[in-house]
Amino acid sequence: MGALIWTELKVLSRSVEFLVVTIAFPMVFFLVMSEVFGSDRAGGLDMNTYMMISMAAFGAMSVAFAVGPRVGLERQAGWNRQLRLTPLPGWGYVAVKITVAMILALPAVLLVFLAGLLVKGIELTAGQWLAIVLSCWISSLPFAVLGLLIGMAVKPESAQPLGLAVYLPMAMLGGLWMPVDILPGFMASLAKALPSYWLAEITRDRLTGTALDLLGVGVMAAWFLVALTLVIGLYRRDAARV
Amino acid sequence: MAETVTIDAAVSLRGLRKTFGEVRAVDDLNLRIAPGEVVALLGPNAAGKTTTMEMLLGLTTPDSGEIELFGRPARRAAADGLVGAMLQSGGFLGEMTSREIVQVMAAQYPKAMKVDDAIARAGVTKYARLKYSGLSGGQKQRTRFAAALVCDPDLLVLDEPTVAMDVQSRQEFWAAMRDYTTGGRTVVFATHYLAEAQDFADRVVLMRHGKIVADGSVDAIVAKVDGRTIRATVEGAGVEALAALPGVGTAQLRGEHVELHCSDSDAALRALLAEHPHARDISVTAMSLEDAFVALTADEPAMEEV
Ligand SMILES: Nc1ncnc2c1ncn2[C@@H]1O[C@H](COP(=O)(O)OP(=O)(O)O)[C@@H](O)[C@H]1O
Ligand SMILES: [Mg+2]
Repeated sequence: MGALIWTELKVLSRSVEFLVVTIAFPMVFFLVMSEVFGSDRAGGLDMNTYMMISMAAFGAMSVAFAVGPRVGLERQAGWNRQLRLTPLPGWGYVAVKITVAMILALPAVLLVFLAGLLVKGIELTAGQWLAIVLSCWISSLPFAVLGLLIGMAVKPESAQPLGLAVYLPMAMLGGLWMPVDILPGFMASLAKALPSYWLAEITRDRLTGTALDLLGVGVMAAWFLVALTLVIGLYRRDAARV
Repeated sequence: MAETVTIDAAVSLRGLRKTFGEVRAVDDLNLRIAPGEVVALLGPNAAGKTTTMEMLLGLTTPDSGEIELFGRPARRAAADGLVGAMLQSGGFLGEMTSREIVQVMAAQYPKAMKVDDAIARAGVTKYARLKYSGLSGGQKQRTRFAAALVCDPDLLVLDEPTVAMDVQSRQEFWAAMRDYTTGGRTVVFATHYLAEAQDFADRVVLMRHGKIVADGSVDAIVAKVDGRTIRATVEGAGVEALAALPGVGTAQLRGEHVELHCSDSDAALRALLAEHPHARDISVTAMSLEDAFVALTADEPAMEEV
């Protein structure tokens, strides 16, 4: 499994589009957006810090939704069929994919925080930085599985577009581009069912001293488990030629 | 079918069936391959070769029937590292180099051969560091061969391995294969090239419409089909009577033109002239292997097995 993870990381790191668009873009987006919203306060935080966490969450999501749907390409190439002929078990394949997405989510998150620290001069204690990095990173787990689900569920050529069609609204409705308070009421309540909302919210709570929101943890765990169950089911079906 | 008690068959397929909608891709197929045999699955397109191999490998679930490789289920045999395969539709990611492909395959097995050995055996060394997407069809095939080989399998399954290769790569490929099988490994390969089956296999299994139409040593198959063809113009002959003549295998009649595929053309010719003394324009030609292959796999009632 280690070799497979290493290979995938190597292959992805050769793709300039992937590195720039997926990993670096959220940081750029953060620098631009924080100018747009200026110096208001939101959710008990100053706007810069608020947007930094939103964009870090967005970055974690971007990676998951870029890595997972690539499985569509692999299915098209027949790579996963080849892997099926090896001793690698099905759960191993799924674990490799999730691990790769998780590993790559980390630099996307770190870049945004780094921009916050160095460019925007956001001051947090070392403990706070660590807490938001960990919170943001661990909370991106449901997205890693969700991205994989999309890559496995639909025709290979539809995986990337569908990934985008899920990821953009989810980011928007989850309040990653603008605070949920700005959205109309029904959208704001819809947001509470989305893992994207909780990804940012739980991370922000690390800074306002709010206790861990169990509803949020439950929503994310539910998304994670449902997606994982579907992924495992689909892996069994997927032996068919595509 | 007699079962050996002591040695497990390398491959044992019993009553295998698979339909896709209306198409019976594989239709009650029984096949037993002993360890060390090199078997060609020979047949025209859509004969069911790929479907058979994919079921054998555990990639496609049969509608019914049983599959065992070395006495265990296909998936188990794969997990035990006993099987290497080149799939017709199995591929690799274009961004990986040949070497990376072989390396990552090797890493999946507890006892793989050295990556550079597999690469050398498959003749990939020269372009091992190029991206897979930039390779020619033949180079891709050889990379896939290296990837199939690297786990040092007891059973190699190759689906049309030389497709997209030019004549020279083809020769090199089979030379590498021969090298590999001298160690007593079992190989099953699909092909629609008669010559490949003839040159390389110990045993040829001829498939048509999902069924086995002939199965035997290369010599036996060649002997079976190595007949001659008698052509003549005969008035008032019936196709059934012609087919019933001694030494005649199959008969075709178009107007007055008779074509007899014979196992014993001498006997057939004597009998033909005895019954039809006025037969004229007679020619006797050796049937080429290609003709024979066509005759055996044409849309006629199934022939008996060798
Ligand atoms: N996934 C599939 N869906 C529908 N039909 C299929 C599928 N796979 C194979 N077939 C059909 O089954 C028959 C046998 O195909 P195949 O095993 O690929 O033959 P061969 O490898 O000998 O050319 C063909 O008629 C083919 O069209
Ligand atoms: Mg085929």
